[in-house]
Amino acid sequence: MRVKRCIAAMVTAMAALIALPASAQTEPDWKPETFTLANGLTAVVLPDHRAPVVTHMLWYRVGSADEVKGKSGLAHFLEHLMFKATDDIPAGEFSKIVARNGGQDNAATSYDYTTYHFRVAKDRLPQMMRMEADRMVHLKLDTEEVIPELSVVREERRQTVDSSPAAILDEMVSAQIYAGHPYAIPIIGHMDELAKLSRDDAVDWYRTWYGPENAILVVAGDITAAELKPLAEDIYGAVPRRGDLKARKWPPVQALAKSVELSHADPKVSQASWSRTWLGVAMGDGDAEALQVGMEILGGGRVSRLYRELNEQGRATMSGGYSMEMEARGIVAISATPAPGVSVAAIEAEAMAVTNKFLREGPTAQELSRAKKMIAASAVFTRDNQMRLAEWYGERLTVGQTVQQIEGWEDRIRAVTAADVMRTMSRYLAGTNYVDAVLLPEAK
Amino acid sequence: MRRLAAGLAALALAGCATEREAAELVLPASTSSLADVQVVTSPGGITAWLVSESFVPMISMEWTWSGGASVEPAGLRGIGWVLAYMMNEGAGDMDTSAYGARMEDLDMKFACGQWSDWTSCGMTTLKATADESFDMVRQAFSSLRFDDEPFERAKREMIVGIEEDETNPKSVASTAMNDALIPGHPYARRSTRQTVSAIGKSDVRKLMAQLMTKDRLLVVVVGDITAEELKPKLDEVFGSLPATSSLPVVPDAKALPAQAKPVVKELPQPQTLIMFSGPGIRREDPDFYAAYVLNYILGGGSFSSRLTDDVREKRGLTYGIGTGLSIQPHFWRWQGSSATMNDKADEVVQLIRENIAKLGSEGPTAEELADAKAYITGAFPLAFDSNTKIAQNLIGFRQDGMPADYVQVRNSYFEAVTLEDVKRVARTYMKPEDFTFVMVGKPTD
Repeated sequence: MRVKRCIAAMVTAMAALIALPASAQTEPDWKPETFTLANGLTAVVLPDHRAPVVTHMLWYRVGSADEVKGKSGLAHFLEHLMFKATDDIPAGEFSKIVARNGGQDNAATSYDYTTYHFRVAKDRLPQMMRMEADRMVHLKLDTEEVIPELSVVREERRQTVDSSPAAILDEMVSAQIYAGHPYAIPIIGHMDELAKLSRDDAVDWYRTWYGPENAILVVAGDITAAELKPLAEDIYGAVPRRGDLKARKWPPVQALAKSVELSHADPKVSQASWSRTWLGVAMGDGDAEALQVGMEILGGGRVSRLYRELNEQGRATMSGGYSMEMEARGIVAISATPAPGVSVAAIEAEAMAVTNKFLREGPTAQELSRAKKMIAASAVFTRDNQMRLAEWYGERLTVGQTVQQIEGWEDRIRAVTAADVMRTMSRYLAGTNYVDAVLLPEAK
Repeated sequence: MRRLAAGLAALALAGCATEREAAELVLPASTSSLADVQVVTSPGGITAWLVSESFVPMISMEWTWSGGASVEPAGLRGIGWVLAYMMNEGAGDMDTSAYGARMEDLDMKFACGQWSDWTSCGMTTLKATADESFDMVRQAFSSLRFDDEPFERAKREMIVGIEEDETNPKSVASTAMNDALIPGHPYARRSTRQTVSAIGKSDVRKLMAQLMTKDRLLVVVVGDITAEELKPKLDEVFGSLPATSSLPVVPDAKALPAQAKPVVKELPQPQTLIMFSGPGIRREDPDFYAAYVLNYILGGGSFSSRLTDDVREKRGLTYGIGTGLSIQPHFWRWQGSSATMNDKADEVVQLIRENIAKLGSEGPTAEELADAKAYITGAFPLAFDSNTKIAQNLIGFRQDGMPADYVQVRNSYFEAVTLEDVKRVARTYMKPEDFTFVMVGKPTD
């Protein structure tokens, strides 16, 4: 069973996707097309005519990090409520209309954004767009719809966080590494604060953040800009600019003065594991690509240094490392699960020895070229999937990157030098501003 | 302000994919078609389904052998998983590191996995490195290495996985369900530390020779390659496999009668996972398509099902509830799952039983049937928008024994389902007393 409409744990979900990007121009004349409507809505079209379907994603530049104190979970709660009703769509009918048209719909909330999508046969796109535009301005929230949905979100928290020892520890890590910044607060919200959210909170949120000038449209699939633009002008263009939407304002992310050690023991944990998390880079930061390449070499796959030194030596059953970028600042992390008979302290020492050796010596020429080529090739594989491609563009556009910057990603990966890798890895993985987290079994 | 959604309410009530709202601006139905399957047979007699598609310069190949965990020797349970693990851990003169590095150099992905009745592999390569990538797979089948390090690593990881499963709610629930329904059947056998420890290299080689044979093989290729280019590759990759072999015949499972009360497995967590299973239907049964439609109405439609409406939307008791038809070759069941806070678990079980009973006694409405058919047929093209997805779907059709033109005719089977059909299937299968429930968590709290 796969349950949809919201992925609150976007952090962990996205970490796995970090090396699966891009802008490979596979057909010589393939390129994204963009246009902007008079009301401020920006649109990007990613053509792919293999199947008669389109993926339509509308991204709002508002996420859980925009919540005010005490209202954690509100961005994600409103995301759920966006499927309820408008003046013209009866309660509970939104997704059913999509399904009746052979479509699938869902949504997701992150710290930085909230995104709504549907996938549908091309000829049904105009109707779906009318519904999307309708709920941009005419969402109707009745208390009898809002109250059960709050219970759904609390069950979602029980399912995805409270029943998962690893997710509980992830929340603890975020609270520390981002102390003083809204990224410290879980996207899905704290259970006690969730319980107090009201219909009025949801309405306030909607009025504060939702409008065409705060939205970005990404459509991938069997369509061209020439086909989409008149539709978008007619449908989304008719939504007036709000003009009074709030502007995002966050305090800067502060580096920790000294390291923090966390642990969580749970009877459901059978094998201890260890991770170290540092602050990483913002999306679009000049260090981003070198850090991606460096983390790929250190912990990206089965020829990574951590895998060869830990897994193949029988010291760990799992290991890895990644860099994740977000609008304010992302994280860099490595992790390892010790093999039976190996202590957490030993695996920490060994993983850090591998890391520190890499920081000192840098990559070999072969490691560097292999990692760069592999990351760049992943662009082709991303192009195979219109949903993933639309996500890749939408996520970046929403945090302020241009199509040109997104398309330049492959070239920037190819330009990374060994010196770049050493400089950035030393910059982000050295020092004492990290959080160590240990997941431990507990006597049952 | 101009109203954007005039007519949406009418649209909502139309409830049928063929009745579309007249829009001021329309997009034409696309001229793109779904996967155009060619049946390609190599000079050496290997047959593959091919979809030749050059939009993205990549090639995906999926292949599978009939025979999975259910044919493993009882004392060596887990051996098929170890075999699948070893398939990309070294071949010819390349040890595990060299083989892994070569895969990365070629930007190829190649891995195998094991299911109850099938052992399957997938390979994805860029067009530019296709020759070298096919050769990597050829070497895996003609000269697989069984070096000590990856072999011991595979067994070590499997044992850790077995221990993790002991506290994983889904694994605990599946195990409890199998024990309650089909104790002793190969589908209910589990690997243990002992069975994994007992696995030797010669056992794995023997299984490989028995399982990975030409007569058990099904192949699908999708991507930037033509039939003429593919034919020699099929012989190159699979030519070294034995023609035939024999493996134990798995008997059909016969379920024990449903238990009146849920089987409870305690696990310390704030939520209870509920799993339920009742008599199902074979893929070959003429009523399969009607059952599939009925399942959409009960719990198959993600946001459009009776169970989602009642348990999630109306009462807010769960983040997710769903049902599906499990059509394993030797055991076919109607099953589902949900999760709710511990002290609501009994209530959710009761609601599931009530919904099954109501659907059984009254059957679905004509509107529900129309909605279900509209979704099932209308959403079919969504499964064909990437090469990787096309390959995975086609291999599934081959495993189900469908013909190569199934993609073109599949929707007609669903369109032919009548209200009488779904009512008949509902009367036969929607009997709450036939369903066994398992609860994992602390439902008594």
